[in-house]
Amino acid sequence: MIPLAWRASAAGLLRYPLQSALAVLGLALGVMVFVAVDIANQGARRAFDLSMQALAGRATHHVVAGPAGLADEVYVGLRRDLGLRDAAPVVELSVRYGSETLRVLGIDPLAERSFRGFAAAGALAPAVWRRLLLEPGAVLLAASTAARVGVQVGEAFEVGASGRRHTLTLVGLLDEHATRGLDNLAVTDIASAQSLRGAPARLTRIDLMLAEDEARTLEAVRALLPPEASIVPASARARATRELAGAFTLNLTAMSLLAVVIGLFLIYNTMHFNVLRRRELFGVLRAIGVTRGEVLRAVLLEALLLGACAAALGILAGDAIAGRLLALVGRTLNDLYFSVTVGEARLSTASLMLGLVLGVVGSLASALVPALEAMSVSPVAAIARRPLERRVGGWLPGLALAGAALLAGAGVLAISSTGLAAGFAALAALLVGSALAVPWLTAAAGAALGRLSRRGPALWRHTLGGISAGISRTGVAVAALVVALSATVGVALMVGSFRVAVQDWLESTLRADIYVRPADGFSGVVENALDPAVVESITGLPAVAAVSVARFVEIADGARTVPLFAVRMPDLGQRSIRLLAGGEAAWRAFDTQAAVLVSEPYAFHNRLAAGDTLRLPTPRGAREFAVAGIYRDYGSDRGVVMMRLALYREYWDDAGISSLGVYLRPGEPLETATASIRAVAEGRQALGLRANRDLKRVSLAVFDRTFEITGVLRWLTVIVAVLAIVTSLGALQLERSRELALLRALGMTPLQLALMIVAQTVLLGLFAGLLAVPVGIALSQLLIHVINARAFGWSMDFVLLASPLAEALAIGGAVALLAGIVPAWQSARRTPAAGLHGE
Amino acid sequence: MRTARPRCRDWLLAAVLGLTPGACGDVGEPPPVARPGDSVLQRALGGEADPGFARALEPRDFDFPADHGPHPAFRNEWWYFTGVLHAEGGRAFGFELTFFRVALQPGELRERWRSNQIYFAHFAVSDPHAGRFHAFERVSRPGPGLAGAAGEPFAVWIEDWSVRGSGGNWRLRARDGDLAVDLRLAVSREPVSNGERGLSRRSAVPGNASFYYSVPRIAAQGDVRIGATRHPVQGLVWLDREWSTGALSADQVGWDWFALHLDDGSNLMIYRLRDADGQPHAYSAGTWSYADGRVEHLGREDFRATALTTWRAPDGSRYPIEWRLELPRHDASLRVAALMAPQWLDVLVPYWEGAVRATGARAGQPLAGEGYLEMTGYAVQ
Repeated sequence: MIPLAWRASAAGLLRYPLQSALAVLGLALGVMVFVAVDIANQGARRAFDLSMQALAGRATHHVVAGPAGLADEVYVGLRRDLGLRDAAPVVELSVRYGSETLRVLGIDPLAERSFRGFAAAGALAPAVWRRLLLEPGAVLLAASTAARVGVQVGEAFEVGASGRRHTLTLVGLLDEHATRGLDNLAVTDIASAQSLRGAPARLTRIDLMLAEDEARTLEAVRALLPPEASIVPASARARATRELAGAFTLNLTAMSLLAVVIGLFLIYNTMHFNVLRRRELFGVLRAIGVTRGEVLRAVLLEALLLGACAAALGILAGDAIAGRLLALVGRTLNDLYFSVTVGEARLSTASLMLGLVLGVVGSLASALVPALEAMSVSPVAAIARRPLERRVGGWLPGLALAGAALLAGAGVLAISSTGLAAGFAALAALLVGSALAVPWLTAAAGAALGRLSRRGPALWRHTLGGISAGISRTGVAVAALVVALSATVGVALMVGSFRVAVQDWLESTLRADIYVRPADGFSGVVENALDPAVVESITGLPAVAAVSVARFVEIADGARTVPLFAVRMPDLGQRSIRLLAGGEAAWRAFDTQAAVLVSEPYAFHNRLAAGDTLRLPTPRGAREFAVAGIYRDYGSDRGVVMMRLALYREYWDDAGISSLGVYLRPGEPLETATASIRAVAEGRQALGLRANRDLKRVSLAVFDRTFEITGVLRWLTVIVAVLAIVTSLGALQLERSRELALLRALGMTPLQLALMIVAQTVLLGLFAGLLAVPVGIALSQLLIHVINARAFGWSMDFVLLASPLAEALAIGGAVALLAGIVPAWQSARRTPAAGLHGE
Repeated sequence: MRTARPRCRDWLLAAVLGLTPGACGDVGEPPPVARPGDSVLQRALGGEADPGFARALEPRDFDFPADHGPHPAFRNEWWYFTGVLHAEGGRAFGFELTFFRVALQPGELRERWRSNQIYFAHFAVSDPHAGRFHAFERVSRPGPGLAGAAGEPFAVWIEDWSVRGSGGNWRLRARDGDLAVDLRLAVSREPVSNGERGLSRRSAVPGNASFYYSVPRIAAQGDVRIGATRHPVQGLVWLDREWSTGALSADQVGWDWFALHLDDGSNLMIYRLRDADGQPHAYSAGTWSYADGRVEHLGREDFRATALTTWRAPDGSRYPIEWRLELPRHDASLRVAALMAPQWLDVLVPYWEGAVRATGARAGQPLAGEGYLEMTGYAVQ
């Protein structure tokens, strides 16, 4: 037989199906967001791992160097002098085919056996690998890639790479399964890849598979390497690349947890509502011999049911929307970090379990207080609400004190700690602390309003006085709304400040009128260079007053790469780079000595300060460069090392130029200058030209795209909060039906009653919006000065924007209005008699 | 009858033999097999060679040292170094180091990485004392110095396996894992032309022939290293050189090749092309060269080889590891026995090649020797 308490419990849940359903929906949304973010993060990570794995094959180590890569002879030496059999040469580059980017992997099919099965001669038909070996430009694509880009086997197609056109021929198809996660991969022979790169006799890396005698072999390999080359474990290289995006994915997870927390508010609210409403019932049950434990278990079981339903729904929904989210995450990763083709979003057991645990355990935890409350109901139950409200009212100052302590803790944590995790802890403390203080503040404000209205009309008195009446529930609802709204405000302020800072930075940094780079070029690679003759012609154009010259390359330094930006800027009287540390002396050192400037994130990630030294591997051996100063740069969250072009050329044998900034003579029209630049490059190199204005616009567009996903999460969070407020305010009004009926009986018209109810809820909503302003501002400070600084190393000024604050107030009011309308309408429709008999 | 049937096991097997991995087990008619390089080539490039390749049509006079180097106009070529080496205390080692050159298409294509030539090589050491046999295989394009061959100074190499030198002083070096052979070779005798002034016919079809010479008796001194132990050795090395474009005829399924250093100072080479019934083909032949420089060419009717005992290889195929060679015209009979049975190279086309000892008599006089035996085309389906 089902225990009596359980049956009573089930009846309780079903008594207000809408209330229960909304609670489940709210938590389900939270779980959905969390699960979807988790799946998307994992999907991106898996796609990345898969592609790294497939590309590295079974390699245990890579020999890397930079930026020019390795001479063929290094590889020949490993095989011929060292007798290493499991070594494979690799030339990697990217090319453009229409709007698609093809990732070209140049290999020796005869050396691939130990590494990438799909590229080994044995996996290919003899006719195919013979063509690969013999024909310049012969490539293999996966069937899916070939179909998408619309190339048939046997067909020739033209691609662009660093301003030059090349003809490739699709001679065969890659094994679809073995190249999973490698969409847009084009496999070609090493000879073809070298000529595509325009770097004969250079390899981008050498893959090794070392097993026995690893230490000895490593030592022997090292002895053969040129000074700028290093040998790194494949796993370390993959990890170093993947970690680039670590802070980004952690931020997403944190935001998704916020949605869950707000969902849990909702559960608490519903359970509390259910318990309060059934106090009488619990009293009766206890009187007929049901034990306290049974009551406790029954209430917890309810929470368990709600949580399980919510978790199940949330997991299903999260799984369903994860694909969309993954596309967003993937695009950001592609914009900012590394090229990854995000494949399928698949629900992993880990995501599923996490979602389940969050939903169920969270739900149980948030029902604990209501359950204890139910357990404590004495058999001779006090039927009236008042004593409880009074008791709840008694807890409020304590809660507020705890909240204040948490807020203080958040402040201390933010200031004294250094880690990103501690930053998130401070963030959590701020939100929870605020939430705890909200009910007391609401009650206090309600009481104050009540006092103010004492001499006003009766309707006023009832309206304002009633606000703090149901504080045990309204407090929680308002707290949930405050958390959601302040998160919205905080994030919006952070993003807004960030955007202003980026705009300022673009303004001051981008000074040239036209930026010139090779068409179809890819950043950071050595082959992306302008034709020297084209550079000379552009510099000599009559319309051109001056040019800035930049070389951007990635220097392999062990497992990681150092983005190196070598520049020669024209003397325009004013520097376009803003120094954060180092001062005038830094510029003198930069201009004349073996010194570099590092961008703020680079200094942050590598713990560098002005005056430190930076060791870089160069073809002349490892060299130390003085860090003369730190400059502001929002272009890369990894950071950049900036060097005088002449100094770069002293150490690296690379005369290449990645881009030109063209300064026009005053009065020269942009269109004419652009046309003449194109004209001088005609027939020599295809150029990508960007006017100053366009470059700024594109840069900001990338910035906005980066925060698109943040915006989506923010709105999902608000939706959960809206559900919370709608259910709790709705329930409150429902419960007050007897009181409301009395007011009607005392002569209040239905319209007046409805207005009163709506006014009460709107006031609560506005109050939440108001509270969200300071909390949101505090939150944005944490996000800007703690989270952003610790995750990415960027500093920026806080900009107080009015719109997010107004938004919070408006949302608060609107949401509350929405929440008030239904109960207002219902109460107004009810006859006083029905209300008085109710319950 | 056993036929040469490739197994779908090795990538190069699949690649060179024209199989895609999915097509294993359906290879159609097994093509004829002679030396391993031959079979690889034929299956990779099809029975009919591109007419752009040069062919061995007429006898020729070899030109040394140039002819020690490669002949890229021909489709394939090999350098076979084999020998029995003796360490102090009577321990003997056999070794084989063979380089194959294969042209993927006719013509000159020699860029830094791109080339129409591919090299592959086998390296094997027999250690009858320890009962161990080690075999390795390598394949490479010439690339920027990975593999290649040259006449003067002489060189043929693939990665760290090489034979190099000039004049008559060559150095042979090969190692893999914990095994290494390092020999100084003294090439003091004139090479011996096989067949008709170097033209070795395989069938009646003109062009189905190779240019074939041997340097049968090269004094070798050096060491064999197995693990941490270095064994100083000396002995005689046999070099077999052959280049060609033609294919075997369809009625030849394999061959047995004997190369013996005999203790009267002579060298006996016999190759026996087998037909599908295991019978010697009409174009089987041999060369008996003597210490005084005299050379006798042997025809199919001049010798008879009888298998005495067989050994079953791990792949199930059976190789005769003991033979009776009878040369009635020379009144000679030799019993040829493997120094150890498992000298089977588990490479892309598996074959047996190993050190042998010969005992017998010629014209009533005892005659003994040692050398190498190669057997191909025994693989079971």
